[in-house]
Amino acid sequence: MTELIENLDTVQETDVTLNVNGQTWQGSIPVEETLLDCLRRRVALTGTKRGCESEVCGACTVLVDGVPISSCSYLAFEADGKQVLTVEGLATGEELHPLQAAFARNGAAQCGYCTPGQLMAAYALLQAHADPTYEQMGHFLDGNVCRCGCYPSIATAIREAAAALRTTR
Amino acid sequence: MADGERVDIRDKVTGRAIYTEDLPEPPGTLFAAAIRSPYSHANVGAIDSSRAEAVPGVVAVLHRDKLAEFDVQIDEIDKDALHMNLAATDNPFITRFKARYDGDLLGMVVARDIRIARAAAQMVDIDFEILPPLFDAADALAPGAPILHEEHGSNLAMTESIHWGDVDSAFASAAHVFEGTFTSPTIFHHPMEPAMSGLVHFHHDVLEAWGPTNNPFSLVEPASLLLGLDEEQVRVHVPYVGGNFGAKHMTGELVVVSAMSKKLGRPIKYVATEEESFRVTARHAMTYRGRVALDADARILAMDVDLLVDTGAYFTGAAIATQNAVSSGWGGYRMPSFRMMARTAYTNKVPAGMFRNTGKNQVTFALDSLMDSIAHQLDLNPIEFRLQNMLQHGEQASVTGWTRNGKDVKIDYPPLDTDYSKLIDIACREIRWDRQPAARNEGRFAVGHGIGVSLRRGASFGDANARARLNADGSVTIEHNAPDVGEGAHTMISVVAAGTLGIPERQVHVAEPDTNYNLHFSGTSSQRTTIQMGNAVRLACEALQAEIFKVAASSLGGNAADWQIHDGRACRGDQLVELGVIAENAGGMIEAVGSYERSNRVDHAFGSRDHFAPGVAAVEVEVDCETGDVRVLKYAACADAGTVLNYSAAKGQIEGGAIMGFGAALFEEVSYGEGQLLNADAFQYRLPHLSDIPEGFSVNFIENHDGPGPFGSKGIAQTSIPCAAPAIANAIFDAVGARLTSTPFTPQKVLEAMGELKEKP
Repeated sequence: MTELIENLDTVQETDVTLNVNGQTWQGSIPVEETLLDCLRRRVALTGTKRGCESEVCGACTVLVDGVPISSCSYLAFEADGKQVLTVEGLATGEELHPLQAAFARNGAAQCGYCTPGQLMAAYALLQAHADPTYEQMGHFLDGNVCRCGCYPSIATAIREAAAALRTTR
Repeated sequence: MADGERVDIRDKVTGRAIYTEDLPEPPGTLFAAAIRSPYSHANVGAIDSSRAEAVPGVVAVLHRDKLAEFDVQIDEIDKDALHMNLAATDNPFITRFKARYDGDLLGMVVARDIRIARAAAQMVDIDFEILPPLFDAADALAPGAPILHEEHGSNLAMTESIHWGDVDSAFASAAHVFEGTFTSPTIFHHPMEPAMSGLVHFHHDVLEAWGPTNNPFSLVEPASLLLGLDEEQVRVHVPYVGGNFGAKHMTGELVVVSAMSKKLGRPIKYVATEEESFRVTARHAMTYRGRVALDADARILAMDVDLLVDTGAYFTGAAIATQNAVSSGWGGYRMPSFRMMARTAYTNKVPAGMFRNTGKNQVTFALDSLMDSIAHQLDLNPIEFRLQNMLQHGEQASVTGWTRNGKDVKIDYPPLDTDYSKLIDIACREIRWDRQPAARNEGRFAVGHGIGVSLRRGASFGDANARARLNADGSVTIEHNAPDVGEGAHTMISVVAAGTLGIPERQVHVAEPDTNYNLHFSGTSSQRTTIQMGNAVRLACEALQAEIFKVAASSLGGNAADWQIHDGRACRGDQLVELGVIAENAGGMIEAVGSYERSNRVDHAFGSRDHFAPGVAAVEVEVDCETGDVRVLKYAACADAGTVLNYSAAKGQIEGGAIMGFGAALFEEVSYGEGQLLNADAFQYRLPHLSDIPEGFSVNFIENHDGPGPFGSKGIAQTSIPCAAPAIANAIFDAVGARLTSTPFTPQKVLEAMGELKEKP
């Protein structure tokens, strides 16, 4: 423990360039900083939520180069040069992404704390399966806990969003 | 906002909703970490924080020996009013001489950086004398058990009893007597936003605090007393709250950092980890032993129940949980005679507090499993048996001759205001169940049907105040102190305000809770918000409307009675006026306050109840007879909403309650052993996931517009959770003929009940 304390002031830093929601963010960060902390504290995007900090609950899910990851357990420097998509990057101006619109319409959020993570996992699901089955939803969203128990509404919202996206493609 | 959308939903799907941890930190903010007992039971000897204080970046440490240094009003610590965690009478904001659970708070460290604070909190040296821990209520009440609170002389925290009729004669003359014992373990709330976090800032002689809570006033009294402030000097705000379920109350941690902020003059942020969040509170474990006497026609004559409640380390929710358990002991059943005696014990577990439908889920599991079991043992259709023995619409539960704790009490329960046969019909139709038991299954997978029914006595006592203000731009702001913890309280306020005033919802702005409004509310809990806050908002809006008409009449002509509001504008005959004009005519704004109160009548049995909140679930399950694994294939929940105010939020409450009940029925249990809390993390504590929930999941309401809330609404938030465990247990019995008497229904317990496992592995 004493060693840890001594090391607190001598954190090794590294320069990174992230592309977050289409915008470039450059800066120097401690090598052990998680992408979650970097997004929330440096990029100032607090939509991504801290939950269990152990890659179980899914509240911190973001996409890195299109792949859903738990940003609480992903070091920020690993995202150097990559595309990061967070909940703030889904809407176009005030126009909601079809997934957001379907979540809103179906009341697929109650307390809303897991919602950014649910949306990002659902986004990855629809990238992989344009017309997902319930089993595929379960597979993609099983790492995203909703204690308010919105699962049936989330499933309905995903189905509606998938249908909307299929007609616009 | 689109029609019917929750008022908060746009913020929540875009990431714009700001929760406590998202708040920008004021300049100079320090970060706090908690000093906790790693032992479940230990005497606290010398505390030496010098190593922690020497760490560069550490600004201060507060613990038992430094209370005076931080100007904490030590004399106030043991006074009842201070006790944190709701109604506790023995839970001071930090523990000083004895740690009674793994996680008991001993102090806080603040530093310029959260990592430094957390590391330094581990460097506070404490001499613990480890004592044997108790993790079971029966063990705690056994002779010779170590005593947690020496001043009580035993581990018995309280007793509670209710009695009417002549139970003993009924049993003596009964044609049939059945009995069963059912247990429910401790479980955790697990709100997605960890509980306890907060930001406090003592500045300009005011302690300002932001925290996730269902009741901002819960910090005002303890903080003002301990810090020697007037109540007006404590101002609490509540940003978005990431789930509650009973876990989001103001805690000792916030009082400690408040004292430190006052002394240091710096803002302090405390961010709890998930493992700490697991140690805020829990659901009471209970063991229920019930006996039922019936006549030759299978009519219930009497019931006699013994209940053992485990409240954990402190009194916290003991009174409410125990009283709720006893007052729900007969559910919706007709009981000519009834007796229930509860004993509540201290153990060295995380103190149990409020948990969605506090005290009643455990009892409903037992009662409705027992009733189902009796029907099967008498070879009767379990639904027909229930309907024969349940109260009917308009029927009054026995209201004469009640004694509570040996004293005569008055009963003010209203007659039953709902129709179980309708609720049951709807739920059974949804899962396509014809109410007949399944044909005996053969092969590896067995399918069965079951129902669970519950009766909750409606909104609890409390008071609510709201202010409605017409602004110069024609919008209406509602000020209040009902945090929206996810259930849709702010949407309800918006619907009620718009509907009462006759304006579209987009013209209504629901403000964030702030104790500075000086509008008291008893808290978003106990299924009280729609009734009590809803009526306060309605009254405020009715008063505002009367004021608007007065101003309109005096400034624009006519009499007040000539004016109306239609579609967001004031009108008198052909004259149409924007509401903003009327506000301008009144000097820029018009406001009015509405107040609603249901008092706690102490001479009555269990306070004051204004309506009933029934729930029904019908389920189809599949049991894997080889592995004991249970899958729910179809689930139908049905509630009597009186009037649904917002479909999306109402459906969410029923859906979410049922799924929380799923978790308790199938997966959730807090494990203690080896002197420790063993599974206080998301890895080891199994929560329900999407893949656990059947695609065939339905929610239905009956609406007779007969509730005491605005527009005939009733409370519904806690109606679906108690039905899940009995419905699933009863369906398992239907499938495989095995009676599950203890939640969660793990594969091992299922195989044991089926007789497949002769010995525990």
